[in-house]
Parts: sequence; C-alpha cells; structure tokens
Amino acid sequence: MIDVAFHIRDLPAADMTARSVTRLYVGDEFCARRLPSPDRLARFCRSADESGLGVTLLTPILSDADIETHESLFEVLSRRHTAPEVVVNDWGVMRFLRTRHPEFRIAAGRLLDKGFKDPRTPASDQGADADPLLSGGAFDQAHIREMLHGLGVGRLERDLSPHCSGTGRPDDRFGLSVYYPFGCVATGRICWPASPRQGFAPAGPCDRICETLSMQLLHPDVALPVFQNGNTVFYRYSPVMLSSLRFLAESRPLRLVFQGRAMGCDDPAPEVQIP
Amino acid sequence: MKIVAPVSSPAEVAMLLHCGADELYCGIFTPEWEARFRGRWWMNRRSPEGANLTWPDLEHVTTAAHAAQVRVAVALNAAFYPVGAIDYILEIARRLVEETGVDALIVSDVNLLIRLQQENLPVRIHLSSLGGVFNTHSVDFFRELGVRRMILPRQLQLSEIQTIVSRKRHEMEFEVFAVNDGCLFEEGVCRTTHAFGPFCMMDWDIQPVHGDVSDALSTRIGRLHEYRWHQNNCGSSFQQDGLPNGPCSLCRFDQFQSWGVSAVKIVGREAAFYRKMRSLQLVKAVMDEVRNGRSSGVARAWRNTPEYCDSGWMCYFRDPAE
Repeated sequence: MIDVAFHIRDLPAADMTARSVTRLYVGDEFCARRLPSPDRLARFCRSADESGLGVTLLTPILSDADIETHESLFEVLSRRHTAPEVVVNDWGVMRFLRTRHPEFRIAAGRLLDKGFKDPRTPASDQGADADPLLSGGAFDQAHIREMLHGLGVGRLERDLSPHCSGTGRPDDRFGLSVYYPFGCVATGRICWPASPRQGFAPAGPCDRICETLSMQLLHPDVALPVFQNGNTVFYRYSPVMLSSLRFLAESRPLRLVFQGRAMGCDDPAPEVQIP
Repeated sequence: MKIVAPVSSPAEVAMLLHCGADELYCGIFTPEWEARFRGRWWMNRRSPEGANLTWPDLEHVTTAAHAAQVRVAVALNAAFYPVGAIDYILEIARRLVEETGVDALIVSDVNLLIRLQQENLPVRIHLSSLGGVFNTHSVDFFRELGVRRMILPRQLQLSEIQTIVSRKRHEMEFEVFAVNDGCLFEEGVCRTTHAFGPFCMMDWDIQPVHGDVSDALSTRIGRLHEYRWHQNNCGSSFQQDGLPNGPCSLCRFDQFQSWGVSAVKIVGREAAFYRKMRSLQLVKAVMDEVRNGRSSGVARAWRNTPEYCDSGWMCYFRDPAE
C-alpha cells in the first residue's frame, strides 16, 4: 500500500481515515504565523494517537524571536510517546533542534532542496528528454547527503521538479517524501495578499487571508498551472507527473504528502488522485 | 563600516575607487558555462551580457583595485549548482584564487560551500544573501562551513538584524544591503531564474480559486502593483538631481554601525555606469555623516522623495510595528 500523509490545518479531518492515511502533517513550511498554538498541536497529537497515525510538524524559516516563541510547541511535541518528526526548512532551526531536542526525528524540508523549479521552462526542456543538469536538486548530491546524515537527518522532503518526474537516487540512509499535487516555486516573508494589515513588512501581522483566499496566476507563457496561497507560489503537477509519482510510490519506499486542501485549493481531479 | 560596490567593466574601476568604494564585487563570464546551459541557468544570477567580466577584464579590475588596497570578491552565488556543474565551478574558483588573486568568493550553495571547505583555498568565503540567515543559529551553521562574512537577506526586520549582528559580531562579519533592487520574494527560497525575466514582475492575470472575493482581491492586487513599482527602483527612475530612486537602508546606517555591521552593499552589477556612480555617491555621502559621528537620518532629505519614503515600501528593512 502506498504510504500517504495528509497535511491538515483543522480537526476533524473526517476523510483522512478513508484515504489510508498513515500520518498527519501539521504546521507550515512557509509562514511562522501559520504554526499551530501549543494547545492546538496537542489536540492534533491526541487525535492522531486515537487514529493510530504518526505526527509530523512542519516548520518554516524562523527568526530568533520565532524560535523562542515556538519553544513551547517543540516541548508539546517532545512529550509525545512515539518519536516525533519535525520537518525543518531553515539551517539554523535544524542546528537548534539537534542541540535542544535530540529526540526529534529530523526531516530536511523542501526549501533546503534548492533547485531549478521555474514553471516557465519551455516545453523542450521538460519531460523525459529534459536536460539532466536542470532536473536535479541540492539533495541529489553526495556532499550534502553526507552532511545531513552527520546531522542526524533521517528523511528528505522534496517536490517533483517541473522538468522531470524522478525523485533522485535512492539512499538507504534517508526516507523520502514527495509533496503533491503542488510544487513550490517561490516564497518569502513578505505576503502581498496580507498587505492591508501587514503593509509589506517582513513577517508582519496579517488578516489570515490565506485561510480563505487562494488564487490562480494566469499567463500565456507559463506551461504549468500556477497558484498562490498566502506568501507562496506553487505549480500544480501535470497528470503525467502524477502518474509517474504514483508509479514511483508503488515501486519503492516513498511517502506521499497530500497538500491540496491545506493550500486552500480543491483536490486534484479524480483521475490523478493518489491512491 | 565599508562600502561594497558592484563592477561589471574595467571602465568603471577608476570611477568606483574615486567615489569611495572600499571593496568591489563582480561576476565572471565563461563561454564554457554558456555553451553547457544554453542560457537557461546563469552561473552567478546575472546575465552574462553586461553584468559579468571576462578573465582579462577581471585581471584588470583586480590589479587596479589591489593597487588601491581595495579587495575584490567574485560571485559564484547561484542558489544551486547541478551535480555536473560543481566540479567546473571549483575549477573556476581555483583559477580565481591562484591566477587572478581575488580576495573573496560569494557563495550560497551548501554543496559548493562543503566542497570549498574541503578544498581549503586561500580565499575568504562570503555567504550570499541567498544563504538565508534569519537567526543566530544559522550563523553558527555557516561559520562551521568556513564562512567569514554573511550578506544578510532583504526580508529581515531591523530588530532581527540587530539581534543577529549584536550577538554574533565577534564571530562573524555582516554585510547588509544599502541601495537598489528590491525583491517580492525571498531570494534564498525562490526557485525561478531571471533568465526568463523576473517571475514576480510578470503581468499575471490573478483570479480567485474560491469564493467571491473580487472586491477584496482587486484592492490587494492594486497594492501589489504599487509595491512592485517601489521594489523595481520606482520604475527605474531618478530624482531630478540624478540620484537613483529605489529600495534602500540609508537612514539606518548609524544603527548598523552601532550594532557592528561590517559593510553595506550597493546592489546592481548589471546597472549602467551612471546608476552605479550616483548610487555610490549617495551611499558615500551618508556614510561620511556616520563616520563623522552624525546621524544618517539626513538621507531622507537627500532622497528628496518623502512620498516614497513615507510609504515604507522603499525600505529594505522594517519592523512591523512602524
């Protein structure tokens, strides 16, 4: 059976058990303001325990003040019985957690997997004939893998590149997760949809418009469908990419992280749903 | 605090040294890279046409700068180099250090940082703003990879800069942006290439996916366009006296100095001679105030665009409370 995780923002997530989900992802990779409160995280954890699911906490770029603010979140997670998993997208957060919470299972987040993911890439550069030099990411390279292994990282979290449908060379030292149906193009600490309150100040206060507003960005020069939610722009995988992902998930250990609804967008079309 | 200025032509060197640049930085162009990547993936985030130097030009620049006791840094600062490219970039790095005698390499790719640390070349390593340092723990992480100076990202709050620099100033040099070229996203977590034009400046048709929010969305889109204009150097405009408009941190120089910032950076390797010159003159004038113990607040008057300053959208660094 394919290993599927489900990124949720609210409880109850009634359909998660119907989808053979094995794990809940909570938190956020892109914005510290979307991290749950400690109480809310505790409720997620209880619900996951009752359903026999694992819990993974997603974390974004964090300032020193953010790290201090969210220490209690890490404390809640560390009190869980099973080894808690945290996805980090900031080298400083990784270093902090390795020192302060060695009990956590650390996954290297997809923002650390730097690569070329421009959805404007011409069709001639995509698919099976894509230039292999443009289709990889930082996690494909031996040196960073060695360093991550030395730092105790046990999992790599990735997107499918817009230019190919592979997930890189398997490595027994790391579990592998792939997000679907969206890959991340760009993000930042300035959130223009939240500008009426935030005023374009980095990581400023906001009106949480991301909870109700997602947008499609349309342009004739862009090959893949592009969406924006909050401060982050995504490309949606093509049906071919999703089919390829399903094939990969059936043929090797791979965790698929469904993040459609958490992004405020509908599920992918039925023909490309996994499983 | 030093002034770091961009150079993309030997013809600019005398002007930059005369106008007060304390350090120079540049990019390098090689035909081999262009042939291999067909222009899709720039070696150092800037177009090979007009923003980068050839080997003979770099030698000229380095010789002239060193004669004036001015350091030269070369950007090898792509967000990432593919598997097949790192070995080539290392060859470039060796040649830059051993044949051209550059003083520093500006790097952001962690794989390249690891390889450079193993190589142990006699050169300073500066972390590009793309390295993404948003907390003091990241300073420790990159210091252990051999970094001597960090160029802090644009999307930091002022108070976050103060925290990082004041806590780590004795272990690390810090450089911050001074003038020119904003960015809608954070460079370190943007996966697009300017080889296709700036992704965030495209003329998108923005449509809501859910619900009827057209009124609220149109207001926000209007603000986005206005903000982008400010970030794009106010439409690449100049004041009446020829000083360039655009994002800056000029009025914060006195704070930067008191916190322990080592250098301020003028952005724009690809900028024209005139924009580089006027940017440097503006930065130098404010820096002279600070070096003489006066406030850098005068920059606002010299800017002479209070309507742009008042918006706050021309500031690189702000705290949300302001």
